[in-house]
Amino acid sequence: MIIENPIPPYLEWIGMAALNWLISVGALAALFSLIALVFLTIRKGPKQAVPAFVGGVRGALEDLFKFSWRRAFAIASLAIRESIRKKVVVVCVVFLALLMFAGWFLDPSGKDPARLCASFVYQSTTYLVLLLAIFLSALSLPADFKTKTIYTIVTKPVRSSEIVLGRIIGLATVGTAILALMAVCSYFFVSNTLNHKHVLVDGEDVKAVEGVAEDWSTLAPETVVASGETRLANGHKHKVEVFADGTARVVEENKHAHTIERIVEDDKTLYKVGSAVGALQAKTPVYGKIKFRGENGFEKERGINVGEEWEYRSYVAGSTEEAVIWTFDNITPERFPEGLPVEMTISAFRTHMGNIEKTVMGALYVRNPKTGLTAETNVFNSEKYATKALFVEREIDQEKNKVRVRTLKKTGDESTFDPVLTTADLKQTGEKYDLFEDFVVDGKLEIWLQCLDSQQYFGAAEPDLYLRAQDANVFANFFKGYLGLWQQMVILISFGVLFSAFLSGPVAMAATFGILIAGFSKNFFVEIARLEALGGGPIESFNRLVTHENMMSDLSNTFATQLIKAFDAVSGVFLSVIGLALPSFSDYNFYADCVANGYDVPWNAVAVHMTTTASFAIPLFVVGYAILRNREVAK
Amino acid sequence: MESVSDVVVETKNLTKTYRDFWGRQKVRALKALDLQVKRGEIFGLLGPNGSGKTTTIKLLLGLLFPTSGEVNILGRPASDVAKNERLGYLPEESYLYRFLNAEETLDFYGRLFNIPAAVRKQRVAQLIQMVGLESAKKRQLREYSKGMTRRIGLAQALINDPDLILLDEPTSGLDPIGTRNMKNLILQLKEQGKTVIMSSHLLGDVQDVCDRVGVLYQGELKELGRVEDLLKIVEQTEIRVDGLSDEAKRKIEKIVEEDKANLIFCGNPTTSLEDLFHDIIAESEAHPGKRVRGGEKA
Ligand SMILES: Nc1ncnc2c1ncn2[C@@H]1O[C@H](COP(=O)(O)OP(=O)(O)OP(=O)(O)O)[C@@H](O)[C@H]1O
Ligand SMILES: [Mg+2]
Repeated sequence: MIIENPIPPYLEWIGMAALNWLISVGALAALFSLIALVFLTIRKGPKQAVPAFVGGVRGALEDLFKFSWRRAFAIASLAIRESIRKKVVVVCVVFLALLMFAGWFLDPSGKDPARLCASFVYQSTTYLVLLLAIFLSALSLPADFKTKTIYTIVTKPVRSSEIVLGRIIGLATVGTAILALMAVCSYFFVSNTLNHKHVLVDGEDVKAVEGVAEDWSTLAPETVVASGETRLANGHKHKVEVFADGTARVVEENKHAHTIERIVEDDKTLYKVGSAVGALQAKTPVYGKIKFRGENGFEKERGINVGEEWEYRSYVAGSTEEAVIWTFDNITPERFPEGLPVEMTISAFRTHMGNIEKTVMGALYVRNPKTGLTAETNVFNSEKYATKALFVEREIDQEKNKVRVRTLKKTGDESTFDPVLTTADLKQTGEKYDLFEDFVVDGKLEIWLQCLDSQQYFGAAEPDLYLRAQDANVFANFFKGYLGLWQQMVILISFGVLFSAFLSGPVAMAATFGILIAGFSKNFFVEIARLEALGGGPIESFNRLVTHENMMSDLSNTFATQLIKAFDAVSGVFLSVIGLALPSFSDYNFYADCVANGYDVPWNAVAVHMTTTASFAIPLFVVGYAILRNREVAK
Repeated sequence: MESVSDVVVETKNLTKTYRDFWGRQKVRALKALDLQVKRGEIFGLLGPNGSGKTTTIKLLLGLLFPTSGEVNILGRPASDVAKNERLGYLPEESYLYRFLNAEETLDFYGRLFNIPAAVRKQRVAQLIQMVGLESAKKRQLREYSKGMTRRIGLAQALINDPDLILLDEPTSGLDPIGTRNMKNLILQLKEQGKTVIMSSHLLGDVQDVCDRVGVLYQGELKELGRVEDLLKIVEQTEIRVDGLSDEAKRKIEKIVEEDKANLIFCGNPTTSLEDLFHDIIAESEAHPGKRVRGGEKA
């Protein structure tokens, strides 16, 4: 899975994030205060403006201290009841209908059907739930204003803080219930679409392997005695192998295998292929830190650029000292009792094709980061971008694994090094090495990747190689994947309620929709605001658009151009401030990606995003109630 | 001398000018209103349509912000949420949630006062009985008739057993029994020592229950005083006697003539239409069946 912006560990992240949050909130508070003061000055005159502003702020603070959860929950349960009685459930029915339709068009015979299905359900639920969130939140308060029911509310001892938070809680509860329902439907849809069986006709499809002894009991139990192929289902067939001990195995195809059952009838043995297994996975990757080793043995942050525009992966040249190095922490025999299961997706770049069929050779090494003791554990062939699963055995043999000590020797003026490969300090011939005892120091271990073919290159990014810890629960992970959508929903509802505190229904809805769109393209928005985007700021690009000017050419240096640029600079400041308040919705694609690609959603990401969600919801709530509080209700 | 705390509502120079979106002046709905309402009083705001009655009530409640002037209600400014604790409000039309039924409605508003569940349950039942909606308490308000909505609106205003009750046209939409009940209820509230401010353009309603009235016309207070004083027509005398002989009647006419006064009316007095209607209902309830007009006793 490609992870361009890895999520840092929570404790590393929270400090900077909190600081950024304070700055953003401070900037926005200043901006809002300014707007409020200007507004008050127009309405009440310059003398009255400041006392009125101070009074408003004090009252808003008081609302916080006298907040009553019971009243907030009364408002929340009203919102829930409203949604139920106004038949929001209809949306769910629409969703179900959609799933059933899609079932006809989704083709489960592709190479990775699990990914296709999961992506589909996550995407369709995302659209539905977020649109629903916009509808629910942007229309609820305006409806109260329109029917004037708000009159009977605000003449009770309810504070606007309770009204706003009650709304947010109530609508979020409704959203959560709907989301949960959709998640359950989606799960059944996905598992139903993925599940299929293959027919295996005994005696026809599976044939004894030629040259195998008649009496299987004399053979080693893992000897393949018969093999064949299942019949076609969902556009694919599986290889089937029968072993000497009578057990059988269905070989993986299209990222899944099947259970196989042995039925002994009289003196005949039949095999029956069962349901699909492993279509959905929840792998738990353990990532390391990446670095590169240059030709002279120097370590560096990036490898070679082979001329790709996308700088995600970085390359090392084959048959040289160059290597990609991952350093892992916390490697203990308790976590990996048998050895290290390594999975990787390596990009191979060829400067000459030679034999097109021939793949590029590579090798994996484990290295003790302190002593430099290195062993070659796996040699493999790599196609372009194939995911490879390798296993680093716990027991390492001096001869077979070519154990050496790899270090750097200072040369001459002390600023250059020579890579050294020695056999000094090794154990006596014949003695075995243990991965954890001899290669791991304080839980740290290096894994090196080298390309063995000269003039070929291997490219990798940090998430491209990981150790695979115990898999997580697939079922639980499927629902965990919906946490991302849940968070987006809560943020959007908070925005909707905020807008609906002072805008009419349709306008609030448009504004919330705008947030959704801008949130999905936040990076682009920020680029425009900072005048980093191609074609200049908003006015300049608009000018280019209407004058059919291309994005790159310099504009003639007229007064009009100057004016446009000045205007863009000023609006850029404003847009930047607004950009601070924009949630980055595209970040949440991570959740669906994880599930679709068969990875466990890391709790660290959940913690980081939950905090982010709160960091949006809280200020939005405060602004919302401050506005509602100072709004003339019976206008 | 009355103490200050006896004044429940006080406005000083209260003025409201409605403005449009651009801040341009649209309507001057209330002009420099000075008003004091004392504890235990029933105060009537009288005036034709559009005279500013509702505007005044909204200003008292803080639903509108005054253009200038001040409001003091239950010892607090109108913008203070805490004033609502002891206050009940029946809006001009009942603005309630149409998807709730009567019980749910009252329960919801009770929760907004943080009334404990047990007390709430009891009060809800009691209020529903009082406004006569027992048979419809499980029906959603969207199915209610105008009068029924009005009744549940009233129950809603009394959920917290308020000290001060603001009623905006309490009798609008009510049938004569409802109107009578409403008036009785207002008098009951007065007996319990509560203060009521009501607005109406129906003179009869105001006359029957109010201690004092203020008459608004185009946003200005035109008249303010005790009802008896306002209604007393000092120059006229009305005589009502039961079982007077024609002989005596002629004598009275003569006396009037001698006094050089002007006889306007002397004869069997008529009751008001409203009174008649009530008599009919009361009688019908006592003697079900076809009612014979003209008072011939069976
Ligand atoms: N929201 C508003 N915007 C503009 N003008 C308004 C608004 N509400 C009321 N008005 C105007 O203010 C004046 C007083 O209205 P108000 O509702 O207080 O009258 P009222 O005495 O309650 O009348 P009614 O007996 O019809 O209820 C009217 O001229 C009305 O048009
Ligand atoms: Mg009115």
